[in-house]
Amino acid sequence: MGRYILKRLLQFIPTVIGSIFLLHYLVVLGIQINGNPARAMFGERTPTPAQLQALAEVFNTSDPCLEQTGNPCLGLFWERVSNLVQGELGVNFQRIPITELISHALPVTLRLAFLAFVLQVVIGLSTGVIAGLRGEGVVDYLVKVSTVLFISVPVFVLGRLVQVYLGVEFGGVFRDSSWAPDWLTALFGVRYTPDHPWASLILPAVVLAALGLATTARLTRTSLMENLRADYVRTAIAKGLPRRRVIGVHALRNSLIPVITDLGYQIGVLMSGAVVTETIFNIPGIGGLVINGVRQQDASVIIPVVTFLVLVYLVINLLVDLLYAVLDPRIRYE
Amino acid sequence: MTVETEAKKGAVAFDPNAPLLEVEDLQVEFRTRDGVAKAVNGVTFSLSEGETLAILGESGSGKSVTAQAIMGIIDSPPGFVTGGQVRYRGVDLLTLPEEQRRRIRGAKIAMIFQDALSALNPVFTVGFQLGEMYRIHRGTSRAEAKRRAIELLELVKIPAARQRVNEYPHQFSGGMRQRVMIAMALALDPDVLIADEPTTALDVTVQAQIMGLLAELQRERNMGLILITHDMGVVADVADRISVMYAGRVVERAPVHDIYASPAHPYTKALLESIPRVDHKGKRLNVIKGLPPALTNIPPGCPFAPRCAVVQQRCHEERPPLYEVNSERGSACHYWEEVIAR
Repeated sequence: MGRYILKRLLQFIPTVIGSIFLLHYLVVLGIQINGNPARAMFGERTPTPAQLQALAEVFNTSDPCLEQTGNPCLGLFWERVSNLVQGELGVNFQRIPITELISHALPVTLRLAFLAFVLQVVIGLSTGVIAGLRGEGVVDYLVKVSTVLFISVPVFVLGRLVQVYLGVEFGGVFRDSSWAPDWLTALFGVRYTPDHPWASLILPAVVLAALGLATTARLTRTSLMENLRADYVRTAIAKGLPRRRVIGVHALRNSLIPVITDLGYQIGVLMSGAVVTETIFNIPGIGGLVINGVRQQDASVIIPVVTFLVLVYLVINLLVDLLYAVLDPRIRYE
Repeated sequence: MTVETEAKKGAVAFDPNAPLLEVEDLQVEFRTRDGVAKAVNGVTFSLSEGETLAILGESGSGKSVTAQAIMGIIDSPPGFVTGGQVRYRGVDLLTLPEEQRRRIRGAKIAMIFQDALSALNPVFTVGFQLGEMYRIHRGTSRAEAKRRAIELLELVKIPAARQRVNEYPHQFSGGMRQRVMIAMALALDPDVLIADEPTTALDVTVQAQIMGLLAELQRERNMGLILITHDMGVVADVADRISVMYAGRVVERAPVHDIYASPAHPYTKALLESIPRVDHKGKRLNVIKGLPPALTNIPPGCPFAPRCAVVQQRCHEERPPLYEVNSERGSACHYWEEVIAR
């Protein structure tokens, strides 16, 4: 087990370096094709070569390889990797330390992802179990319809719909009233309000959770239905166990193996889905950071932040694989 | 839950002097999209202490469904017990509320299934699954339940029981898993044990060990054993009496020696003739031609008539009752006298 974990951790290194290189090369190509981002800082004015050179120096985009389209700029790449390894994340174009940016954005994204995850687990699991037990009932039908709906409607469409109808139209009722408490206004607000860090994130969390919630419910339903027909459930009944124990202990424990595995991966999906949701609801999280970095072609923001997301995803995947072995004794890693 | 409360709630008035188990005119049907499948059509038999009754029949003859109906574990829907009685110590189990039936399951009447790998829960240790019997039915503590689980494993002769109690079903061999199933069924010292093809999934050498173990434990505890099988060889060794089932009916019932010596139903006769024999080496094996009738559409006369070697016109029109051959034997054939004489 220890060897397995060590092996997996060592596998992280090439994966992370590979993804850093990919990010680096995409940013470099962007600069080579679109021109040096330093020029954008001058707006309509045309800078003198000396001015441009000075600003490019500051932005760390003065390397001559950035003029040669297709050149992977390996020198710049190694410089970035060694800086990251030493924990020096540097500053963005506005000279704000990246660590400071992340420390402000991360709690917001974590709150959003946490809320979405809780929604997904609580609602997804409970509706899935009800649908699986009843079968062919109203809940079952709702689960099926909502899955198809949420899979086919993209997050940005759903997000806008929620924002317009629940945020603007419905939320307007509270904003105009004198009786509604602040948190209620924030709950149905159009955007994130720092005064209500939880309430104003609930609607975005619902949007973020929608897809995962539907798949969780459906997976739970199918898995439970399948396990209820299993031979060992018949044995449990024949042992004279009460129905709630047959279902709650014997059938459910087995049904949850694929569901919990999927939920683990969903955390990673939530982190990346947050990028879109945060943009729609104007939430100053990791997603907003990445989007702004991409707009400004600011490699010093994009690379550390996305690498951080890659690491989160890798660690979660490892934890899911380990959890899988805990849940299913038939799985053993060496 | 304590022992007292379980006993109080499960206060069903069993008559200790009444026969151990009587099944009378049992009817079970499955309501499916393709129609109503009549799986069991008026099965009657009885079982007393220390006796082994073999229920013999091919796949789909209704023998497993009969067992599940006795246990009360038929999947419903689609399965429904539509008639008859299952009396345990004089009490008709079919009329009892579910909670009282549950207390009988596993405690008074226990069952062993065919495939022990799928019948055991893969994610719990063997000790947990054995201990559950005591924890749920008797309310014993976890530690005590585990101690009892080790005793059970020793009872069914599993070596190194103290270590193996913490292992999972997939860590056991096929024969060992079936021993675990037997241990689980015997945990609460039941009066009736139903073994549904307990050795079908096992190697021949292991089959003999398992049957031997079952017979030994049955003798020790004076249990009534219902052995469901399609293996005539297994039956001959251990059974006292046999009921042969076909299309949801008992077509012949007899003490084990009589049935091998002089079968009174053409189906039983055909079954015996289809056993491969060393002295018939080189000759073509006798088989029963055709298939059993679809249970959704059982023909009006004798269900075996289309495959019968001695069929007459009457067989297609009139369904034979279970004629009494003598006080111990019955045959559901209009011409049983001719069959038995041949």
